[in-house]
Amino acid sequence: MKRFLALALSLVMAISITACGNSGSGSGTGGGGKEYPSGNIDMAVGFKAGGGTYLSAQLLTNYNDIFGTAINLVEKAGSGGAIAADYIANSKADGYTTLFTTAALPISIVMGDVEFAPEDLVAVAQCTEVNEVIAVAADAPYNNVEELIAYCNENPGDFVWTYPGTGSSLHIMGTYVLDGMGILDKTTSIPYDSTSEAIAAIMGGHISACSMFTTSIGDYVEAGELKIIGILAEERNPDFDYIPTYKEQGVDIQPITVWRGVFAPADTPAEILNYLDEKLTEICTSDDFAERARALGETPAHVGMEEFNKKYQEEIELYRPILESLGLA
Amino acid sequence: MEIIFDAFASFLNIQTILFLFIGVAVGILGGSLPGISPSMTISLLLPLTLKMDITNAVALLMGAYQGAMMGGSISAILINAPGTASAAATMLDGYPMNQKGQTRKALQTALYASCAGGLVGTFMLVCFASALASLALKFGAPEYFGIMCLSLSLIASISGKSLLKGLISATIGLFIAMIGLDPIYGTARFTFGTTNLNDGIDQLAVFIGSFAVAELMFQLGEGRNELNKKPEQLNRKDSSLSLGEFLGQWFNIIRSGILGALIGILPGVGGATASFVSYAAAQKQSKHPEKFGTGIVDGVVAAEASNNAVCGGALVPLLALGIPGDVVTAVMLGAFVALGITPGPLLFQDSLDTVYAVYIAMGLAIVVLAIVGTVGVPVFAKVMGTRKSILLPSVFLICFVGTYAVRGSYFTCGMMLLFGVLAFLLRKAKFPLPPLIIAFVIGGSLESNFRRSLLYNAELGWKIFFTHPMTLTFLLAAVVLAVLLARGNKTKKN
Repeated sequence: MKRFLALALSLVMAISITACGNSGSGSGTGGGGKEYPSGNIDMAVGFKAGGGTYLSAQLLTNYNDIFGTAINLVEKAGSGGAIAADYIANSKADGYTTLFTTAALPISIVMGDVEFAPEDLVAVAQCTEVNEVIAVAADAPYNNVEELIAYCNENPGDFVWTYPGTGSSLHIMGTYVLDGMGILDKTTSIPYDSTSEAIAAIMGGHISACSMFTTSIGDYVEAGELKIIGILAEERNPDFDYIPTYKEQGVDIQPITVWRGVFAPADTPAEILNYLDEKLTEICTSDDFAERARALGETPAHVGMEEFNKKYQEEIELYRPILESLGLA
Repeated sequence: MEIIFDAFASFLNIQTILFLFIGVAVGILGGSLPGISPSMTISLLLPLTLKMDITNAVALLMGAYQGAMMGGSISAILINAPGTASAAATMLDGYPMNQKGQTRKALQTALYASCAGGLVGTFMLVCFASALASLALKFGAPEYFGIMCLSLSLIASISGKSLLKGLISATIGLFIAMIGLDPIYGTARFTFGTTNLNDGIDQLAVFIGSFAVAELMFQLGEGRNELNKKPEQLNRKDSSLSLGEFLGQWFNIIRSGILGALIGILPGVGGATASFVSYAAAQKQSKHPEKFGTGIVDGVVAAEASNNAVCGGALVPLLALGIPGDVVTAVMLGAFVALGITPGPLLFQDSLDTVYAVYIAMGLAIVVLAIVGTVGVPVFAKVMGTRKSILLPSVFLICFVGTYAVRGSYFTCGMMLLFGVLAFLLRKAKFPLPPLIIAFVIGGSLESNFRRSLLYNAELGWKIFFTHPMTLTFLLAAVVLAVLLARGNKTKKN
């Protein structure tokens, strides 16, 4: 009996430890003359398993043969990804600990949610991106930017829009867009916990609109439940070519997108970073990756290390004034 | 009609049935391990489903979903640490039953109540999916606030002897729910400057801390002799659940199942709320409410029937609207999309076969759950045949591993210990814990929906609650219920 219990317990421990990923098996012997990679690469994800970011990170686990080792996802959800970012920024820079995150990273840096400097992390590769849209009920009395502006000017405060959480990228982008239209102060904003709850509230007629990603549009437009005012992008998204950009509707704003990509601690040796950059370029520009990403509703949009780092730094400066105007920075 | 038979026939092959069994077994295992939530179990299975056809994938996922909802009760009963948040209410009577020696009976009750509740949930899903989906859409923030108030007023019924102590306990629960970022403005509240507390305190850390850890401290107080006794000397008389006893619970099962399914359809309200509400409702209507919490079958049945019925309920908005009803269905939405099915308004028109596949998988998963569970119960029950001096330290270890696994951080373990001490002190001072837990579970959405309601219309302000008929009904019912319960409480004392 005792032996059974001991066995059962060790099984329990073994499963829980491997199941949650952080088995430490990934922390190979960084130095020691061995060629990189000599062990699994841990990749921390700051968002819940099963969520959009996690699913996107899971795409990378299909390419172990290209990496030459296994990518081991470690879920460290919380605080809009800030907890995982903190953890990686303070990890050993041996190339075996990396971070998979989104544009939430520059935002949480500006908001002061993280306990490290922007330079403590180095951007390795942008993998995919998603666009923001403003969705409204199909029977709403406005169909495009022009009509929305007219409506808000006539009925200040009646346009109630939502986003998943204060300080989320969709909050920032929705604010940026409505401000660009010049109607921000004539709208009412209420945060919901998730986009899906917000869609339910729109369909139930409780609120007017939601700032959300193209990934969440699903069949709602085709089914006649929702319509889309515009998309925040340089040009129309080929998968949603019926949605006009804000720019073509005369809103003069920068087409910021929400990217997802890989980061590493800043002190990671250059040759390791180059190795990762090279491999991620190969993966993210492949047709197989593109197909898998599109199945998730994301646009494959690879950006290499050098350019991605510039973008990362620029976005911090881009988001600062927006967050300050919201009183969040 | 033909389409139903076709869908059913596609399940009748060895492979699919095997996947159902694997799904249920993995689900029970994942569910029974504190820290591995049902949503985590299912996300671990996701990569496997990507290479399967739809029938097999659905079989695996539905099996795991039902299995995990039941599995949570195993650790709740055995070690007073809920394997899943939805099993927290199961502990209230499940663990006392175990302490009385009725381990096997408690596990059987949980298993068969889960199966029966699952059937009620599936029935509601199959028969009323579109009607229930449009009902869910009628719920705006004020309605949510109303129903949360109603649930909170049930606290009065699970306060035990002293209503005052129950209320104090509930207030502490509400306070704990306020820790973290303000739901509307994003301001940090009571976080002491650490980002670890930004998302509030993890439910599982609170549950495991205040039940399992506090219980361990109590057990330590029993002294060495008691802890080292051979289990045979403890005079445990285990019995099995008789068919008559189980059938006697039919009304409880149906009521809890319907409540669970109804709460399940509301996006964002999970199994934990459902099982507590059903538990309180069962106690309220029971002929012997004073026995609740002392280890009776009724309590376990209410909680477990309810949380398995949530599965069926949560699938309603997922299938009909593409809106997940809880965290698990949110993960499933990702799985369906990856398989090329888009749940949502068009699903019932475009791929009715998928809808039926889900229905049938749900039904079969319950049958498989009953089979796997019946085989598994005696094995699980044997754990209690261990000396306490060996069992308790192992439980402590599981608590640590479990809370660590929630977020991969030691901070959560620290929180668990803190709540262990807090609950120990509260229990010593005879404060009931259930009000604290239910207030903590409900507190978050109570507050955010209250404040959203206030923002809906600047002119109406707080008067909005009087302009929504459903909200007003809920609020009045809450007041009436609270008054009745409080008065009943008073007369009992006299």
